[in-house]
Amino acid sequence: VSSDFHAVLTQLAAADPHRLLDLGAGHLVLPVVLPLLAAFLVQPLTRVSVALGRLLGPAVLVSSAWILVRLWVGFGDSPFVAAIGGFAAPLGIVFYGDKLALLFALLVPLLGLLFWPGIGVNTGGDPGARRDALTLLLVGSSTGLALSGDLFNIFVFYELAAVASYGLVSVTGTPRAQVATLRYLLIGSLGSVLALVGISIVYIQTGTLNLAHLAKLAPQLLQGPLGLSAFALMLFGFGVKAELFPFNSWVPEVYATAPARVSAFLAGLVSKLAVLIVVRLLVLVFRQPEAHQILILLGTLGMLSAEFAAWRAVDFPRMIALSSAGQLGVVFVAFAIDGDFGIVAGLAVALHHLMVKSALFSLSERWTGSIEMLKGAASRAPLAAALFVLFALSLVGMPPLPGFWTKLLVLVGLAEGGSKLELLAMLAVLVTTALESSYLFRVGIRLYDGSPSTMGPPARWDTGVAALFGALLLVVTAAVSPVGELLKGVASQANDQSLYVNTVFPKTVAREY
Amino acid sequence: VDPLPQVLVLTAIVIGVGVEAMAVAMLVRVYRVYGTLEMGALRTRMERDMAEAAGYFAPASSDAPAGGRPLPPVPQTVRIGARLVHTEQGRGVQS
Repeated sequence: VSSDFHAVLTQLAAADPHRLLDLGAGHLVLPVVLPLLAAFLVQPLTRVSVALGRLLGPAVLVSSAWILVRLWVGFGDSPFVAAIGGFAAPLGIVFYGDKLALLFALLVPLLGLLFWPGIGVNTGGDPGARRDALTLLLVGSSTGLALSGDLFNIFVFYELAAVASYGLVSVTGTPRAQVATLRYLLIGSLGSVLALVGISIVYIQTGTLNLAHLAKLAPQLLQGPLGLSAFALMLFGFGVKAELFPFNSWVPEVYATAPARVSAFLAGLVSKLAVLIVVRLLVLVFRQPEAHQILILLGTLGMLSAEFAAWRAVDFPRMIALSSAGQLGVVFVAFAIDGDFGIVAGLAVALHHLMVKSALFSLSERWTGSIEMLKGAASRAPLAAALFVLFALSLVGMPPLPGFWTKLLVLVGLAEGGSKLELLAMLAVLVTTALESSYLFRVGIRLYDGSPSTMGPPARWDTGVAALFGALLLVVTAAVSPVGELLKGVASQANDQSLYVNTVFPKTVAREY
Repeated sequence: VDPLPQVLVLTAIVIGVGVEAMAVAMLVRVYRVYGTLEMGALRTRMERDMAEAAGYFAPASSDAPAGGRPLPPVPQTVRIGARLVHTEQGRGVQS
């Protein structure tokens, strides 16, 4: 033992101190593991020192964001794989890091920091620690969703994210929040069961749950009605979180009763991660045209139903919640467009929605209540009102703003597809744009109504977050073509099935399976 | 033997039990406040509470009888096991 110890010591002494900071592919696990570990450490640590307990969460988020940035820079353009515990796929579980996965994985801790529940409000003690723990669980499992390359692992992270979000949504403790959470929980459990049945069908057919392995086997084993039903079941299951049409009835009530920052995080990011899983399934496993048609159909129905409901909504949080469900419909339709173009359009809509809707939810922090009560709020909160108008314009698709380009991409893609279903979806996008402008400007007009306002301005931190997203939106407006090139790079890599398979199974190993 | 199905089933059971425990905890808390577990009634009350919190009155359905149908009153006490627990309504009357 002592000689072993000695050997380790000499190795450590010989190691270049700079090399110790170098990150290998294995470090891809850290952004998932660190928040999960911290989630269980927050409460004991708060017993010891309240200040340390409150610092732990943000510190972990900063470090996981830093690790992800280092990995992205370190590996450059080529995707890489982290085999958990050293067991290579298909026996073990892998994390897959391409640009798409890293982009969303990086957004998780960043948005987690912006919407950290303890920042900018005075809370302390035990409930704060419990909420921090739940937020860390949600962050850890969401990062896992973005990176995971295995259906089993995705299912577990999805459930973990679901349970953490049930806790966070009901954190205000008001009776209405609890009823909303209960209804959310029932729909969510139904979704999990459907997803699990879908995963079981895939397993029965192929004998594996590794996405890369499935990509190789799918052309023989997952064609026809059985494969399609497996896809539909998983789509419904993961669609609960992605606010997909038949399962989005929880959206308005949950986002209206949950704390605004939780709504911002769930609507902004977690819904997109569920979409990301569906996209991975679509690109790697289910390449049938029928799968795309289901997606377009449900997306169109979701878009129309949610936008009409938003048009009729009378309170601000429910209006933007329903509008979020409608936008997710557009995201699904965009991803259903064939080829790289569809992925680019889908990514553009998803990222645009992420910026705008997160910011709108942070504005709704204090602007809860009916739209009539927002009358004249601009006089008390000029910056927040101006930001609202900016986001509304971009959401509707006013030409120089990024929202215009995203809608243009979707419309052009659908027009090029040209099937009846796609043209119908195109019509729906145009109709909902009219609806969106109608209800968003109804709010805008109320905000700038001259009457004296009773509504206080949003909290400083939340206005700051919204302003940050607003600034980002303007930067993207100025730099549309570089951002477009970036998205094209991400999309062509994400849409490359053989790259995924060859990265997970390097050539030497590939022969054995 | 492929261990994957066993692992999948076990994990699903564990997760299922966890979610069920959470659902039961929610049910108890909701029952303490509203004194009912009927999902329809709970939904109506939630919508009303949300409307009240937002500062407007929930628009009645067009099929509702004129004058509106009053909600059944929230009971003042509910029975949880052998214990009799006051709902929020009951506490409000007492104090």
